[in-house]
This record gives sequence, C-alpha cells and structure tokens, in this order.
Amino acid sequence: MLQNLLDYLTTTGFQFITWQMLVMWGVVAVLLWLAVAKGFEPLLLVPIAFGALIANLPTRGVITSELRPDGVYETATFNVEMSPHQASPDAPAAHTPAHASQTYKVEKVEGGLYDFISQGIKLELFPPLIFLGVGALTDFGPLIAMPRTLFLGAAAQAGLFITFMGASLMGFTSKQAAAIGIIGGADGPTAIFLSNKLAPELLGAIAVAAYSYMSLVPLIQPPIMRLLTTDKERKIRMKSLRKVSKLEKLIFAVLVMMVCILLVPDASALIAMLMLGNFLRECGVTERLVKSAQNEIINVLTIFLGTSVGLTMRADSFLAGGTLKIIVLGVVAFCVSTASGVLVAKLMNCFSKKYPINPLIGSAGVSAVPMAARVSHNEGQKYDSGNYLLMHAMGPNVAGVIGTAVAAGYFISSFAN
Amino acid sequence: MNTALTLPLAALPEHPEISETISFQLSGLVVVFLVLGSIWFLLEILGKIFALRSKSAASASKTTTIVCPGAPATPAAKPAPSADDALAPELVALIAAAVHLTVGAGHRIVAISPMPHNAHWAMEGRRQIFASHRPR
Repeated sequence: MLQNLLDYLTTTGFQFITWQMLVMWGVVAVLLWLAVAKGFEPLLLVPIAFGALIANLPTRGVITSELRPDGVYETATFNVEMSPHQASPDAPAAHTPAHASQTYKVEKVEGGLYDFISQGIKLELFPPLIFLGVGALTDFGPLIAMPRTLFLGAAAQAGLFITFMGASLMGFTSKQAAAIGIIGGADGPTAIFLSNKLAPELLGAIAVAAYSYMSLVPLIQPPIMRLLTTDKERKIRMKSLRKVSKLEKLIFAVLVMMVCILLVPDASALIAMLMLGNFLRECGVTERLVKSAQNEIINVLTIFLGTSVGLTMRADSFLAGGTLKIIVLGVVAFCVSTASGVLVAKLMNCFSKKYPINPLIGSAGVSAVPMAARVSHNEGQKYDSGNYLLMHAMGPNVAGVIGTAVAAGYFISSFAN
Repeated sequence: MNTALTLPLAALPEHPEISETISFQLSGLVVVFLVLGSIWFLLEILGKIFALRSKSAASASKTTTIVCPGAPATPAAKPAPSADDALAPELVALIAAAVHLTVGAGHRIVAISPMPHNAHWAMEGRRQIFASHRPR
C-alpha cells in the first residue's frame, strides 16, 4: 500500500514546482490585491491574475506550451496528427498536377481548453471584438461638437513615439520597442493587438503594464497636470457644447471609418469594429444588438482576453530582465502622453483666444476611457467647483482611442509586413 | 479588399540608429496628426452644413416666447403674442402651482418661455442646486 501511495505521489504536481513559480505566485497575489482590495481595473486584473496563476501551476490538459529556439515559451500550440487522405480504391487514378495541394485527414488534435480560448488573441479576434463593445458604449457627441479636441488626442500619442526611442536605446528590437511604446496610448485591446502582432513574447508584460497604468491614471496624471498649468488656466470655463444630431453621429461613424482605413489600412480591424459598434448604438433601430455588444459580448470577451493574457505570463518568460524595463518604459510613456496633451492644449490657446481650451482636458487624450476624462473633470473642480469639464474632456478622450488605433496601424504597416 | 503595404519611409532595421529612430518617430506623429486632422477638417465642414440647416429651420419657425395672461405689458419692441402662442390655461395653472410650491408666496410669473438649447450645463447646475434643498 505504501508503495502505491509513493507511486501516486510521483504523479502529483509538487515535484514540478520551481522557485520561479513561487515568485509568480507572489506577482499573482499582488495583482489580486490591487484588483480586489484596491479596486484597480478589477474586471481585467482578476482574469489576468487567475490566468497567470494557472500558467504557473503544473497543470495538465489546460494549455500546451513549447520552448522556441529563441528561448521563449510559446503557449497555445496544437499538436496535430495527420495522415494523407486516402482516395477510394475504386476511383480512377487522376493525373495530379504539380501545384495541386495535398489533402490530409486530421487524426487527432491535442490541446486543452485554453489552447482554444487563447486563439482569440493569437488570431487577433478578441481586441477588435472588444472594440465593437467599446464603440457601442461610446458617445462621440462631445468630439463631434468640438472637433478641434482631435488634436489633443493626436498630441497624446507623442508618448508612444518617445517611448519607442527609449525602448530602442535600451536594447529592444524595433518591433518590441513599438509594442512597448503603445502602452502610452492607455488602450488595453490595442496594446494586446499590437504586441501579439509584433512581439508576442512580451505580450504578458505589456498587457499587465498597460492595464496597471490605466488603473493608476488618477495617481499618475494629476501631478503632471498641475505642474504644467497655472491656476488661471485650470479655471478656464469652456463654451457649452452644441447639440449634435443623430444624423451627424451616423455620418461621423462612417466617415471616420473610411478616412482611417483609407489612410492607415492596418488599423482596419480595430477602427471598423469600433465604428460598427458606434453605428449600431446611434442608429436607434438595433437595440438588441447594441445591448449584446455593450454587455454580453464585451463581458464574455473580457474574461477570455484577461485569462488568455494571464496564461502567457509563464515564469520562464515573465521573470526576465526585459519585464522590469517594460514596466519603467510604460510609466514614461504614460507621463509623456499626459504632458504632451496638456502642452498642446496650451499651444492651441495661443491661436484660439476667443474660445480657449482648459489645458486640463489635454491629459484626457490618453485613451483610458472614461477615467482620464474623469480625472480632468475632478482636477478642474478642485480649482473651480462650478466648472464642469467632463463632457469637454470626453472629446480628447475618445479621440485618443482613434489616435492610438491609428498609431498602432502605423507601427503594423512599418513592421508586420 | 486586401492590401499589403510597407511604408518605405518608415522601414527600420531591428536596431536602428538614433537619427533613423527620430525620423521614424516624426513620420509616425505626422501620420497620426494627418489622420486626426483630416477628421477634424471633415467634421468642421459637417458641422457648418448642419448649422446652416438648423439656422434655416429656425428662421422658418416662429418665436415661441409666451407671455402669460395678466402679466405686465411687454415692451413695445417685443412682438405681441399671437393666439397660437398662448399656453393652455391648465398648463399655466400647473406651472404656477409648481412655482408656488418651490419658491412660496410673494412671487409673480411674468413670462413663460422655453429654455435655450445651449444651456445644458446651466440647467444641470440648477437641477443640482434644487436637488440639494428640500422645498417646503
């Protein structure tokens, strides 16, 4: 009996535990603490942390991984057994041209639950589908009413490009630097989309950095905003926004999609789904579809996306020197994006004296919707309690979403093809 | 339609020189500003078209300021209300009752007119002020 028990113990997972796994359990504990106790982006950090825990346990039948020649563990790889497809023995022997494709019969596919779910990231399905939900949840009215705030959304993308240079100087390849730079856009789905395309080996670290910093927007941005603005500027009251008609919103969705796809075709997947979701919302005749996009679709995908990202955080690849650099570069990207948005708002005021912009809304150009806009509003209220900046800040905020998708398209067109 | 393009300006080696990186960064920023600037330009045109449309629609409609029966005489410059503009007596009574409940006795309703369309923030501020007190 004792021998049986000893034999059984050799089949348990204890013998596979490594010190790196223990460190990752600590990382998971920190992520769960941030999400549950502190309320920092819990909708994403909880699935990510759980996925990371699963990835760092000696699981069987959940997810497969293999070590690539470059030393990176690639997860969600299928082992497929195939045999040449046998034609019927009665069939006449046909002449097979040299370029004809060979047909195989799939005998067996080895893969666990998360091998399949993770295909949503690998095949770039989840980020565009999440953008469908984002589009269905977003009101572009403030942006249409004050289109000059598009420039603030564009200015806030400066952080991406500055960080790209920083990452290049720190030894990352161009593709990796581009994937790291996108953290400054504060747009989780876009960061995942781009890093999966350009640097899948860094996906876990980039996603964690992007979502962590997005949740820390209320802590990161205000000091920079206060540093770059004067008391007088923070008290600027902006002109009330005009009413935007339904037709304008519908034209906007189609127009933006067409312009973005024509100018940056590589951003098509993200922009097309964003604007489809928004068109569904604004047209007023697809209520059931909008409700699905706003609730069920985005919620289910968030669970799958978060867990799949967490599953890429294997100790072997996550506990590398590069991860710490990414964390540092991520915060630099965020700070530069915030600062450039504020500074461009001040610059625009030099040219538009009649209708000045409160520079506090410039920081909302990073696309953490709607948290960055709320930070601008709260900062404004600290200096003038009667100043309502929320709707004004939503303009650059949603412009930032478009801007980050365009920047991602630029990186993809430069490196992915 | 599928397009496979590589930006010749932005083609970078794996480990570029600083000058190449700066040129790449500037190109990227130009692309982002170009795209969002184009959308700005198109939205401005769209806004102008819709502003013209609403202006012409507004000029076609009549002034809707309504003067209550029994109110002091309006200045001569203001047009006299037509019979169509007169509010239903029930509505006037309802508004008068609401005003009485809110501000109490000692008031006089001079005019009832619709709120201007661009005063949403002011309305929201007023709503919050009223919501913060319990009317007696």
